[in-house]
Amino acid sequence: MNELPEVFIPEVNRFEQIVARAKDKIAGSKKCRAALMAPVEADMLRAFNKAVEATLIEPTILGEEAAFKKTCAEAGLSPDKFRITNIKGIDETVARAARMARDGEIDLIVNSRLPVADMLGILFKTESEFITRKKVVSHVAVFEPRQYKKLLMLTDSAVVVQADLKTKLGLISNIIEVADKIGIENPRVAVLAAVEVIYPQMPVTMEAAVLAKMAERRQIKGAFVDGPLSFDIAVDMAAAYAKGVKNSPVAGQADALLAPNIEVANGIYKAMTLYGHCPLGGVIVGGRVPIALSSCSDTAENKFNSIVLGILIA
Amino acid sequence: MTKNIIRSSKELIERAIAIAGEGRRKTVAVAAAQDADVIGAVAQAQAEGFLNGILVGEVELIKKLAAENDFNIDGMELVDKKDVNEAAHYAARLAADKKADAIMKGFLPTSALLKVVIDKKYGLRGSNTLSHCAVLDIPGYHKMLNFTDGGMVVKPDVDQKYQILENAVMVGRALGLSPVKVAVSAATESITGKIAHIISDVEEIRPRAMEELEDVIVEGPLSLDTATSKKAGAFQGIDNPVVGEADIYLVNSIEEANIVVKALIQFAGAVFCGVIVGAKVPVSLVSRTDTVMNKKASLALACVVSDYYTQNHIWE
Repeated sequence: MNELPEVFIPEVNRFEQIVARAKDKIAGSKKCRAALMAPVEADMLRAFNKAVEATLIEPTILGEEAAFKKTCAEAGLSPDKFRITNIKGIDETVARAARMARDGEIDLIVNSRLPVADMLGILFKTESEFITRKKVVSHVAVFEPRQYKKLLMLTDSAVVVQADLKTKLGLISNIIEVADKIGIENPRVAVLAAVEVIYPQMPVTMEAAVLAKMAERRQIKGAFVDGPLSFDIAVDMAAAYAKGVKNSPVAGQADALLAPNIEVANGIYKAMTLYGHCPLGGVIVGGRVPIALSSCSDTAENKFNSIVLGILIA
Repeated sequence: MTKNIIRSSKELIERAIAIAGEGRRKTVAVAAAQDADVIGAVAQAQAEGFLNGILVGEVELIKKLAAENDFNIDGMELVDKKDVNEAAHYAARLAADKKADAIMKGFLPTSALLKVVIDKKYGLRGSNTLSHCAVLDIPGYHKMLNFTDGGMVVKPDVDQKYQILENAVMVGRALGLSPVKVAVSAATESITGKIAHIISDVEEIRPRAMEELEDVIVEGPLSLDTATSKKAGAFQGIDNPVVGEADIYLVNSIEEANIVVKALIQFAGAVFCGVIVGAKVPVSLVSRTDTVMNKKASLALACVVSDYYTQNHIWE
């Protein structure tokens, strides 16, 4: 086989660098005011507490006090160190978080056990004023796969169910924002499909091609975008070359994956965590403040990563 | 007939070898065999002892490719058909005449081959749509997981989905599964309006499958983690016989199975065995980027499925 081109590796390529950047950011300004919405599970509380102890965040707890104290006992932590605002019910808790975000009282929301759909339902209400500037609100996950030489972002496994072309532009712009905060310039965004060629009977391939063309014509700035790309071609240079996808700024070296819909993104997310045992963090961006979010079954370390990402983006 | 369940790619290959050992060694007809990766895969499987290859195509080129790559094709029958379409027709004829148990794609587009395979004159067409099964051996999961359909039907409607399920169940039976546990995919288990189309599919497919197919359990919507992990199911508060035990993951689009399968191969070390089912003989195809193991396991799957068809008189 001919020699393959080298994969471009951004300076920031591991989670520990993201943590270091968050610490630098906080060292140079004030702590991130973070609201944790209860009920919470023990691992998330431990991760939250770790961020408190690292003096990264100034914590606020919103939700039912009794239940929160129970979790504290479970996690072996004293509830006295947290300022708790006792609120009954999920709806009220989320509404309070939205109000605090609107009034500039918090910089970050941390979610744990509240079902995402329920939470978003409340945040997306007009009176919540959580959505501003007509931005798309979307979820970005950041993975650190051990088989990959750099970080790999993924969108959207949690918020946007089925994006149309216009919404996909919003998803890409949120990717660019997260990449920028992490320290990755001009992220290489792969628009995923089942194949790397365009078939009229596969609309996903056509939208991907349109996005690639828009990037080529500089209608999308701040990122390299290419598609359609199959998953293997996006992340494996040998696969890209074997299938004849050469001279692409993205193929074989993607920094970010744009999945065609939530089912695909969610499947990738679960594959990477459950079977790839891949460290990750996840955050919802585009709203008034970022929301650190992780799946219930994620490890405490991954939950900490999500909070750190939120701190950097806030 | 052995009743052992096949739980890994290793067991799959062992079963294919055992079937050959019981005197039912399968013959695979390769359509347009002038492709080094394909010749290599067949030569290796033949050397392992679980199939005989008939290479239909440009014989001179086949010989040249085999020599260049050091593939041993000595025991194989070679049939000279220079035109790829003619080669496909010849392979289909071999299958129709029961001289081949499976067809393998060589150097021609998948669609061109399948068009020939379902040509009425060969009588190879079943009653269902053709669909692709990606049977994965995922380190960390205690059984094989069949993702379908990530290769044929772009956006199945509910009837196609049912046929895809039926095809996959057949593969499940060939793997010795009883009952066959099917998870209908969704990104989330919580019922929201946004995934209404998936819910309605489940509501239609589930009772129909339970009534028409024996020994099959269908549940859904389930996300990949709840379908394959009891722990994840417990987290979500979901409990049914498929949670943590899925044999088949029935998806909603070609992208879903294709992309998630490739993620599992790239980042979770999964071994991939692929086959196209729905016709009276399985159709095998390997990709240039498949590993040696993937290619071998894919051919073994075609042999095991074919043996299930003949031993149980499925198409008679």
